[in-house]
Amino acid sequence: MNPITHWLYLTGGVFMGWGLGANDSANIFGTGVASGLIRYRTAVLVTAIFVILGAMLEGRKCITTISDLTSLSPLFSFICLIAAALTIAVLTFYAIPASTSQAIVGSLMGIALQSGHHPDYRLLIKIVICWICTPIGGIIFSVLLFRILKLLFLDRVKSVTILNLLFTFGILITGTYGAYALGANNVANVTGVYVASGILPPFHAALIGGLSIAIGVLTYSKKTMMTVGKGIVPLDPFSAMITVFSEALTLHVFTQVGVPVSSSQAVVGAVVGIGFARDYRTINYRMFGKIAIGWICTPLAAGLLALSLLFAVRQLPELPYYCFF
Amino acid sequence: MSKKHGLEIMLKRLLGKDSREEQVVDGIRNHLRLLYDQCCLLVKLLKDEDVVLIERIMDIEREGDIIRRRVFSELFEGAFIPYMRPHLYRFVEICDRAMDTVEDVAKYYELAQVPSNLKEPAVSIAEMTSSMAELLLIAYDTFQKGKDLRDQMLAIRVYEKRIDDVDHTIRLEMKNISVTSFWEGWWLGELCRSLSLVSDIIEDAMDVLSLIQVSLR
Repeated sequence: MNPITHWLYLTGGVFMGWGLGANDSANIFGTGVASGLIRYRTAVLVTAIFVILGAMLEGRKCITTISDLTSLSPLFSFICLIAAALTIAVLTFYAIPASTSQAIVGSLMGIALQSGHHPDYRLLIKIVICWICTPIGGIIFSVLLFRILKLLFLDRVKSVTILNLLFTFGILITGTYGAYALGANNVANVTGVYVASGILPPFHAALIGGLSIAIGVLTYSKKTMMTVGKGIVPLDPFSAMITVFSEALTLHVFTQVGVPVSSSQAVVGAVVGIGFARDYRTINYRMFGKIAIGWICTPLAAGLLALSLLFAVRQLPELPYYCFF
Repeated sequence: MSKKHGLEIMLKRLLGKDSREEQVVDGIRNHLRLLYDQCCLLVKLLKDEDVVLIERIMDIEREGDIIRRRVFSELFEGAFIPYMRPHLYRFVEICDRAMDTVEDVAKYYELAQVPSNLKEPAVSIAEMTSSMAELLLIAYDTFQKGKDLRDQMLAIRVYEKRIDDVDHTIRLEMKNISVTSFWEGWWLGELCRSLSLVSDIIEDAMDVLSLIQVSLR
């Protein structure tokens, strides 16, 4: 392949990774930064380092799933990423908790159906089941961790100063774990399709994906971190810590299953879990509806957009063939 | 050593120093101790009519201001998690307001002598206020140990109710007191108002303390 074309195709993944890093890092240290517990600089540095570490050490598990879903040409992988990135941008604008995993799988399905490559339906069913289980996992982990850690620490540590120390370090440790889990799980959304199309081997895909997410975290995460963080701040510090811990655990469990899932939906599930553990009357049941809309809209919209982009590209016969392959 | 205490010591060693928080905690305790000392002096002032104590009460108020500023500065520099800081600011501010009000009582006492028929109820209010300040100090130590504050809170509410009753009696008595000038009457009125106000402020401080405890659980 022409090296310029090769790099051109990679820009799609880097852009996707940048957007993912800028958006999803808010789910990790948003609370800590917005409430002043952790300095923004410390938060982004820790996130960037551990996202790369997660991507390098465990990213391959999910990359394999995405690459095994269907076979693609390099051009199609590029279209997939662009369609997924645009879908995420539009759904985020309408405040629907959209998932990059759902967007990328949706666009992959759209392309696969159009190009005549049959996707691995068993793998697809496994992925869809994992999507549904993500918020449920967030809820279960959140309820369990809330009960266990309350019993272990909150009910036993009485001193205000020690509790204060516990919360400060707790937010930092759970955030670090969250960054690691995000890198391990979500790097497949960024560069998994390149492995499917043969542009990159899995190791390079994990490295480039991790780096691009880290760049997003380092360069453009402040705004979302403050917005999301301030939305979560009304949670008490213990609940905020449990939320991040549950999200990280959910992502990590699904990494072991080998399926990339949504960190935003895991966070929403974890917050709902806190509601169950504390007082179920505080739960906003409309949020479940929003997640359900996200489940349907994201893959559908990404798939349709990928089809449209593919159709548009095919209407350009005057462009040299080697530009695309 | 109990298991719970052992866990706290282990966490303290594991998680490092917490000197800034300790300074805030000690500062607030000293502040509350000064409030209690000030209330005790007020009782003595009203009982013995020893006006020399007025100066001492005012000195304690200034000492309280210094401690308040030091605690605020530590909080501003990052002591405690941001979630707790506003509550702690508020608690210290309320305690400081209580000290200011005790100082006001002493100042008005210097200007307007308490008539003999009001002396007993005024001393009674001052004594109960002093007990409330002591209870607040005990409640703070209980709060530090993470134990239940219900007993202290209930006792403070009972005292406050009693003070309200005595205050009402004073107001009824005041109708029959003849004053020679507007200012004499105004100072006396302000003295009585400030005297009963201290208990309201201490009750507010107790509520905030209990709020901090609940918010951390």
